[in-house]
Amino acid sequence: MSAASVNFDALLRAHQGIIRAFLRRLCKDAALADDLAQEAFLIAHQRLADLRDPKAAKSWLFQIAYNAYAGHARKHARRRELFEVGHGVDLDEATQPPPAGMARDIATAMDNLPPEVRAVIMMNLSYGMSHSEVAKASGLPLGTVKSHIKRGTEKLRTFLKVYEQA
Amino acid sequence: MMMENDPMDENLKVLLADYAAPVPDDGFAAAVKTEIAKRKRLRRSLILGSGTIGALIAALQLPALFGWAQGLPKTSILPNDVARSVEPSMLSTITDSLTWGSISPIMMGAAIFGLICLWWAGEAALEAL
Repeated sequence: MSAASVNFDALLRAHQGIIRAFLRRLCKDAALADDLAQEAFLIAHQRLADLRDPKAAKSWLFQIAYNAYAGHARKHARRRELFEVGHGVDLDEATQPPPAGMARDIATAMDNLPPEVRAVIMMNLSYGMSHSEVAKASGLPLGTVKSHIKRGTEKLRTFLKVYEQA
Repeated sequence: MMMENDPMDENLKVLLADYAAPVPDDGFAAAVKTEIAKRKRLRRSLILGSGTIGALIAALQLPALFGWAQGLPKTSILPNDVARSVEPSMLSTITDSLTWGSISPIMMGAAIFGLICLWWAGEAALEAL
């Protein structure tokens, strides 16, 4: 399958759900996340010829989406309330089913992680991307990705352990 | 290697999969496709617009180009006796016309340069879209 034969519509339909979920969890604002997702897909449409290996479409789209998020975060660095660690969950409740019990608490624990750590953990554990794919998508060195995943997972495991003991 | 065969880690994976569960489409894909179509139309309009402006600029230079072409001598070098018979007052008229004539290629060059700038600006604008 050549790059020219990559069907953008199929790509969009197959990945819009995870890209939007990823951005929603990063931004904690459903409307902003959807705007960034739209921007990411428009960029993907423009640069479709750059996608040489259709199997790498997922990490390629995550790379574009993460760059869109990072660019927005840099531009609006003063608007700390959108990106600051520890800010309350501000997701659109109508589109996100309310988590219960442990799921709600792990969501809170994840939301308390720095956005960069949250992003790499989601890419690796939620979406099954390899460390090297995560490094490519996030633009972070492989070592940093591994340490982010290790430390973030340890925090979540500790959280789970405490939860189970309680 | 972390996350191997540990029930707690498996549990964590499941919880994280739920945490980042895909969002239903809800018309998102259609909105993206509409936006793409809108931008394509805008792109076409920009190309057509800049092409028209470029053609107008080029067309405005045509009379000057024809004027310059008509003012060119039939032979490239005047015979010596003709050159000697030219009076100084006529000479200034000739040099003036040559100066005016020589502006036309400069103007043409400027117009081409302007077109290149317009094309470059259009490309940059489209990249920014």
